[in-house]
Amino acid sequence: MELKIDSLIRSDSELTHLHSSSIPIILSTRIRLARNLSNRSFPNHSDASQRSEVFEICAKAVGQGKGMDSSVALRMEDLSEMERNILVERHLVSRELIEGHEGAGVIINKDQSCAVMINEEDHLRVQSMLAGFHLDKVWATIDALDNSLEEHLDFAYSDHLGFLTACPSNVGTGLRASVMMHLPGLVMTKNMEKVIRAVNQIGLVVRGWLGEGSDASGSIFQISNQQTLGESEEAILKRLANVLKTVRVQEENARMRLLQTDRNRILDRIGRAYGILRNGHLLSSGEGMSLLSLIRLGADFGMFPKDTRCLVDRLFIEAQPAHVQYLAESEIESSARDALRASSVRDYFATIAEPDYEAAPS
Amino acid sequence: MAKPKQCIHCGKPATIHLTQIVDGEIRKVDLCESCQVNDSMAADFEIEPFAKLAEGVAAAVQEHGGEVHACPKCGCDDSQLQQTGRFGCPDCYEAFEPILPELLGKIQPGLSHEGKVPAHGVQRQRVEKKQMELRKKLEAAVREERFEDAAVYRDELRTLETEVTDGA
Repeated sequence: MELKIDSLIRSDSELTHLHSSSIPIILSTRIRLARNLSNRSFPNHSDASQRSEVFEICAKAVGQGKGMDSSVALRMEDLSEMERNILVERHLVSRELIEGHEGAGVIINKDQSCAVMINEEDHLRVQSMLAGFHLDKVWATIDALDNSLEEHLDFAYSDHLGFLTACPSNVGTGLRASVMMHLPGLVMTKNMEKVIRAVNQIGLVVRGWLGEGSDASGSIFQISNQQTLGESEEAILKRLANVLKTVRVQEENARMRLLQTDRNRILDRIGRAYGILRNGHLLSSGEGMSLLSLIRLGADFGMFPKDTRCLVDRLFIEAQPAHVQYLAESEIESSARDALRASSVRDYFATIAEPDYEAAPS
Repeated sequence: MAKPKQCIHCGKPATIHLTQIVDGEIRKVDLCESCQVNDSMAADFEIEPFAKLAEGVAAAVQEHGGEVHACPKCGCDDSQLQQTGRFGCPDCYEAFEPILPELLGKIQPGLSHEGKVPAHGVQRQRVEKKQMELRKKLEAAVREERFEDAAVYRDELRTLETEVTDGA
């Protein structure tokens, strides 16, 4: 079975292979810019031929964009449902794009750190992402890409309102910055709800890890700005960075508190997670997420070798249903998927040493 | 894969999915856009701009005493905006200008753009505007047989054109 996205899955990508963060609580940083061509109806108000025309114009400009060398252009209607879901699981496209109309597509660069969606809610959704915490670096990359696109494309822009978007909630900068955080300490100490409320009050939003509409399994949350007008890009990013710093300190404190007050319970959970991942024969994606999340916590405590965290981050993505289906090389039932997921995870964990319980800080 | 979720109130396709964690228990609710306004759990969330946006459109329509807005370019009107929360094309922002402050005030911290400016696009716009003006002046000068003026405008147009080609 030769698939259009084979090369994407087989090559090392930013989010699956290159994690080397000094701040382990933060999995990845992403920024997206909403842009539209001037004098053209937005995608939801266009017919198939108009959208197709927009796709051609945008795909050409994006292919020549800065940092988009050796990129691949994919039209959603040419992909199978499994391939489209793989793109969602790799955080390269949104659910809205794959459920969208004709003419929807994406251009992805070689290391999958930039992906430009075409004909989603807006003509262009330019996205850039890096593993770890890198708001400044990601902004520099996407700003340069945006500038290079703007050399060839006339964007809908007004002096007063900035970049014009289909939904007024994106008008202005069109920027949404989000940072994916691993917050098991706050979840286990039942403080997550408080954090969500506090973050909401300052115009930021917390979501589950696959974006809107996903649940928060694996204790992974995405924190992003909500507002786009009346503030510069730098101001938005600074506010987000400040909040992340606070959330990070809260998470670290929660972890220390757990180790001090409930040490056996927490070590028990990590130990059991290791046992199941190393020996289990059926693993649902939900259970996989929760257990991998505990292993990641153990790695942060120093109980597992250093590169375990990178493996866990990769498995967070590769243990998702469509990726397992890809591994099977055919359509399989969910029970067969659970067996295949368990066996692939078992192989990985066979090489990871037993947890070193003494290493956990006290 | 999973079927599209349905609104828990009316069964229409849900476009809003909320997850709430209360004492470590996860509660999930799927809603359509019209039912979100009345849902108790949605009321807890200050996060979805959509309800506020619909509220904003309704308030603005009331404020402006039944005044109707429609975009001359794409035909998007108040009821469509209220239903979908989306504009039809970039020109809609001009068509709906009278109600924009109420609309944006609900969801945005400011009303004017403070962010980056697309330098190339703005420059292209400036040049196009200038070319249009010059062409009009040139036509008028020819019509009125002011040939010396016409020569000046023609030269200015040529200079602009070389600037554009050199720039590209």
